[in-house]
Formats: sequence, structure tokens, C-alpha cells
Amino acid sequence: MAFVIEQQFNEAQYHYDREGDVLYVSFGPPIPAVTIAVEDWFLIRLTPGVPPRICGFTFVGFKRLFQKIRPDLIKELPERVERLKKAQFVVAYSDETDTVTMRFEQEQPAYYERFDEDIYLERALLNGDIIGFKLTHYMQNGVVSMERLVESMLDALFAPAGSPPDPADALTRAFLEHINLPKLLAAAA
Amino acid sequence: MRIQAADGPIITLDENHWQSRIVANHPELAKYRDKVIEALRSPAGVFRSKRDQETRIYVKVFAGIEISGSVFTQMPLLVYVREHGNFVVTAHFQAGMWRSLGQQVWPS
Repeated sequence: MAFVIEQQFNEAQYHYDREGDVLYVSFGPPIPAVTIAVEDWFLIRLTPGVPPRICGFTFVGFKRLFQKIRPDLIKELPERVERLKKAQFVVAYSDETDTVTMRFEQEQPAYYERFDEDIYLERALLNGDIIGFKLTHYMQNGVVSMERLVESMLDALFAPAGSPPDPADALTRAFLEHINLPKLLAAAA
Repeated sequence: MRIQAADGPIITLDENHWQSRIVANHPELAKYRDKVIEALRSPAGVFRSKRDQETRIYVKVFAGIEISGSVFTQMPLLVYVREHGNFVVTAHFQAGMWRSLGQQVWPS
């Protein structure tokens, strides 16, 4: 059953609870939702409907955790303001190829680089920037692949400074660019 | 309000914090303040946050939780408490988790 889910992020609101050190991000006014916890500090808020819609994120202990994030991953993150205004996440599944693709940016000429078994990074042909990824054999291995991908990114995020380069570093950095980390930090300042 | 938690501490659930921070941002909790208190008093387990040793997470599963017209037969409620000050930081109804919580601290 093929599907496409497109999520726009152009109505982001930020509220930082200084006392609790919790950063709440909502796309539009906060609405009732359930959460998927990537880890217990990083919550994705979803509306209960079908298909579910991402309506926000919650970061518990945001400032405290930010101090632990590998500084080289966030150093000199480009602002790319215009691109971020149009930031969107598009998830599509093709039952013909049993493949899930997720893109941070508009579809464009690209090539695929193997990240791990059944996981491929999508890189823009023009400049090599990571613009998304795809998971093959999704019905059989999709959940495991997604968990492996997320775990790699989280491990990269919190690895000790000076850790040797890892394939997850580039993907993690690309993801950070698209969630506008500088703006999140400004909200919590 | 001060609540005797199952694992020992007296935890503060400040009314202003509850309304202006937690419910304002997680509005699905508005009618479930009693569940948050129950989760603190009789959790299924208490865990440390995976990345923050100063945050404890009280977990309890509830039946019949209604969110935006959907009724969930089994829905875990997670209540976050900052140890420094022993106050409720936030809470949420969790439909899924990709990585496990940190170390379980209660029951030991």
C-alpha cells in the first residue's frame, strides 16, 4: 500500500521552560497528541488521526543535553534561512520496490551511498549534500533499519569529542541543519 | 501540591507550572492531572533518563485514555521529575519508544 506523507514546518512555535529546562516546539498552537520517544529526552508529538501528523517536538533537559552534544557536529552550522523556511520532510513508500524514502529537501538529481544494510543516503548530485535516505526491503527489515539509523545518529550526536569520523556524522549534521538548531538554541537562551 | 512518591521523595507539582508550562504545551494532559499524581504515588517503575542522571521518570500504564476523540485501551504515562528540587518537569502519553529508558531505580 503505497503512501506519501508530507510534513511542512513553516509554522513552528517555540516555548522554553527555563525552570524545567524543557524546549517545546509546536507546528501551530499546541494540540492534544501522543508521543513517540526517540529517546526519553526527544519526543515526537503526533496527532492520533490517520495518517498521523507531526505536530511538535519536546526536548527534555534541552540545555543540559546540548552541552553534551559533540561540538564539531554543530560547529558552524550554516543558517540557510531561506532553505529552512521551506523545510519539509516527505516520507514515501513504494510497494512496487518495497522501499521507504525520506527527504529533507525537494527531490532533485541525486545518487545513493550505502550507509548500512538496507539503508542508503541520498546525496544531491550537484554538491553531494545529504538530502535524505532510503530503506529497502521495508516490509521485512524496515523497523530494524530505522532503529539502526536512529541509533547511529544518536550515538554520533553524543560521542566523545575527537571521536573518529563515522558514516553517521554526515547524516546527523544534515539532519541538524534542517531542524534549525541555531533557532532552537536561541529560543532557549 | 506535594506528593509522596513511591520511591521516597516528596515531589512538588506546582499548579502554575502545571497549567502554564505542561498543559499549555501538552494539552492532552489537561484532564489527567489525577493520573500524573497516581503515576508518582504508584508507578509501575521509576527510571533514570538515559542521558540526564538528574531526571527521574515515573511510568504507569492507564486504560481508557482519550486524546482527540481516540480512546486508548493501554497508554503509558511518563512523568519527569528533576531531582534537584524534586519537582515535576513535564509529562506525556507515550505511544511508542525507539530506545529504552535509562537505569531502573525503583523497584530496585
